[in-house]
Amino acid sequence: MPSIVLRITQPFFDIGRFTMLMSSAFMSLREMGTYWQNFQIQLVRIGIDSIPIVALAAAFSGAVTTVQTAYQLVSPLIPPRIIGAVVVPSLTMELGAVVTGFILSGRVGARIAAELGTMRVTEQIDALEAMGLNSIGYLIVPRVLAGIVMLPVLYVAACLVGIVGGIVSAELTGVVSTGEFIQGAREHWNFFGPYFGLIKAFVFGFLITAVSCYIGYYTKGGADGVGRSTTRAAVMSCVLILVADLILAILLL
Amino acid sequence: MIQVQNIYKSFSGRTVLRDVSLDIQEGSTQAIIGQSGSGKSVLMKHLIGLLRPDQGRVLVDDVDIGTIDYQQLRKIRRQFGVLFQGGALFDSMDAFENIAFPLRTFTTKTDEEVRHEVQKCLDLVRLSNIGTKKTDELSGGMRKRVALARAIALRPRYIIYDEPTSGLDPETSNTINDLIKGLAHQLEITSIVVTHDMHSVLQIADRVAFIHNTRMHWNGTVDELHESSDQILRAFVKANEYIIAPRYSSNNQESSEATQ
Amino acid sequence: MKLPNELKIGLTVVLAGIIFYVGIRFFRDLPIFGQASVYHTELMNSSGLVTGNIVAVNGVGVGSITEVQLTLTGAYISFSVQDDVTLTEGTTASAGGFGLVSSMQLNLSLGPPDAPVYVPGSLIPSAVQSDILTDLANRTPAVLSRVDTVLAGSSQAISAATALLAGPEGQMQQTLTSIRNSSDALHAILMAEQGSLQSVLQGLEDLTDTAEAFTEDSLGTTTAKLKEVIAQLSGNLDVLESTTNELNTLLSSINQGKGTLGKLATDDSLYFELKGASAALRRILENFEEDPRQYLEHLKLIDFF
Repeated sequence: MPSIVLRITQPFFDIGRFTMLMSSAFMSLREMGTYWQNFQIQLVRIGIDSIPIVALAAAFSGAVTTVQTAYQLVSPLIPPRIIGAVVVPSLTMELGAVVTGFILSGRVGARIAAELGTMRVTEQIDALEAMGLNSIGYLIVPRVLAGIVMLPVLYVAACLVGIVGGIVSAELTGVVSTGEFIQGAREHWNFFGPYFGLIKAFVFGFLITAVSCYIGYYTKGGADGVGRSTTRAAVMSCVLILVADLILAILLL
Repeated sequence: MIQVQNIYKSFSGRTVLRDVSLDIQEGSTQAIIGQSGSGKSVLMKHLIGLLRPDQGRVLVDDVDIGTIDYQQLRKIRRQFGVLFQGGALFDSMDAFENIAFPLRTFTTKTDEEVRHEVQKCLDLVRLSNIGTKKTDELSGGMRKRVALARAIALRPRYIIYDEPTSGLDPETSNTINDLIKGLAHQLEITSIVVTHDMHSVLQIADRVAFIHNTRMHWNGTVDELHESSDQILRAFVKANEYIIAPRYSSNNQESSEATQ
Repeated sequence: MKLPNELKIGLTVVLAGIIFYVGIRFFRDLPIFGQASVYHTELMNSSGLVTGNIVAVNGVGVGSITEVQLTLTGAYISFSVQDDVTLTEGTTASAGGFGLVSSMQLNLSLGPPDAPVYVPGSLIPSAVQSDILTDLANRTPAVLSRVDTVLAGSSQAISAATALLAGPEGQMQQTLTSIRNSSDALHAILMAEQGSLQSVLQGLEDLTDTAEAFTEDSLGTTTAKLKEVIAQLSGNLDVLESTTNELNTLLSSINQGKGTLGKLATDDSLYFELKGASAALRRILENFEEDPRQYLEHLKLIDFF
């Protein structure tokens, strides 16, 4: 086949193979009992171990959003409590989920691709299969499920820390008091906001882990191939997060 | 009994196997030899259904493993033990856990029984005291032996060795060859050895299949191999002896294992 | 201490769940553990209320809107209210807020506390949809009629006084008391109503924030109503002026008299009170007539006046 045709068909080939991989993973769900131990390990690695870095990023997002919102509110007609009304929905609807997603793309996506890629090139995946084990069930299902479960948890942590970060920076810079900040947030509380954020986190959790698993699982070549997979997983996760973010916003808002 | 019937396999337009057939008798030790990239590893992967042929069939006890569903295939795979080239030890586990892994996954044995079984496997591969070592702390020969212990943990009917001696110094190679021979005898196992190491083939094999240029070029017993007048086969065997010769002169186990 | 994975995961997930729940309750200003009861109401016009808007009693948030549905006759709104707020019969609901800076809210005007209680799930009647203009038109005549009553009482008393000037001195005392009472009452009412009139006009000013709601028709109606109100006030002012004049005459004739009449003459606070009261009313009206923009400065369409 000429290379131009391959280039055009490659994305469809990937989408097809990804879909097949995910449906195999879905079929393996009933064997979940066998992989319970693995699932727990992944919950800790993907979720709990990520809390510190997610919290750090969220705290700074909250603080920066607060300070910048205050900076842009030059009109004396606009009460400062509007800062709370801007920062809190920004965090719950957008930043909380997206910042968490980006952090996890780098931290978890790259790690998954490197792990599975190494297992592929050192024939560990073949070894699992040769033993009669379902490698997809054993390796991919626990990771994707852990992502789906833990991303919403991390999202909640990010929102909490982000809002606290916003309040702290508001107090430190003196742009608005805590009371006013919260009053503003309450006045403009968006009922759907946190649920929207939760849905996003859920989708991102699936995308990051599933795509990284896919890329890692089908790694080719030696150490070089693992390196390429790792980079690709992190980049693809980020791109998919942006695309999914936009699609979800269009569909749900 | 494993029967390979006229299989063809190609990857993105490049043919790797062309009309390959092979019968592997129960209880025998079958060597599959050929140059690197001749498709012998691809043939090996067909035996356990890791790859499916484009044409032709692979029968394990008269069951076509190319057409059965995944769950049945997994049951058949459990009759196989595979020693992969690099050992393919799970690096998330230590040596003991690697060997215990199939036992814990597929049997309902208690921890005590598992420990006992692992020890038995370690005895069979003549290893001791490696239990809690990380896989990357093991030397090349030990890795292969731990991987072998893992492969035989479930007492398979067939065991496949993929380049069992590659990357090992001659002394360790001999140990592994002895192990393969011993296991075939002790466990009454059918062995399939994929290798380009003629020395090892001559030591352990009953029958030899030579794959050359994607085809099954020659197939027969070891005795027949000695008497064969096939030019290509003779060239391959001879070339191998040249490669083997200088390796025998090296007694430095450490340096040869370091390249593993 | 090394926690087992199960425990770590369990704690994290449960904690996240609690934070999510408490956070939402906190920002919705709902009690964290108390249960909120759900009620319904049907408004002719939801005025842009959406799910999540605050439900307020006297401006205090007590719950939030849980659902807004379109019906054939208006908007069916479900809302939750904290359990410590009891809605009694007579409670009405209406949409409020100006939607520009602050969000819309559902205002509840509570019924009398001793009335029977609405159980959760009941349909709370909507308040008769009244905007500030109708309010103005409705309230002003009420003020005027009260002023009228007092004025009538006072002119009656004054005419009686005039008639009694020729009479025996004993009845003089009674008449003067009557006049004093009337003028006191008039003063009080005018002071009170000055505040409420001003707040009505203030409301009109606020309303201009939502000037997009105006159509030319409604502006015409408003103008007509305002003019009517002003005419009524002027009419009443005339009556008051003539009454005051009468009183002036009365007072001058008293000044010319003797005895207890002399006492009345020295008590000039009565006179000033009456005069002050009429002046207060006059000031409001003059202000409004001279420069309506002072009260309606943001209402651009006022230029059509």
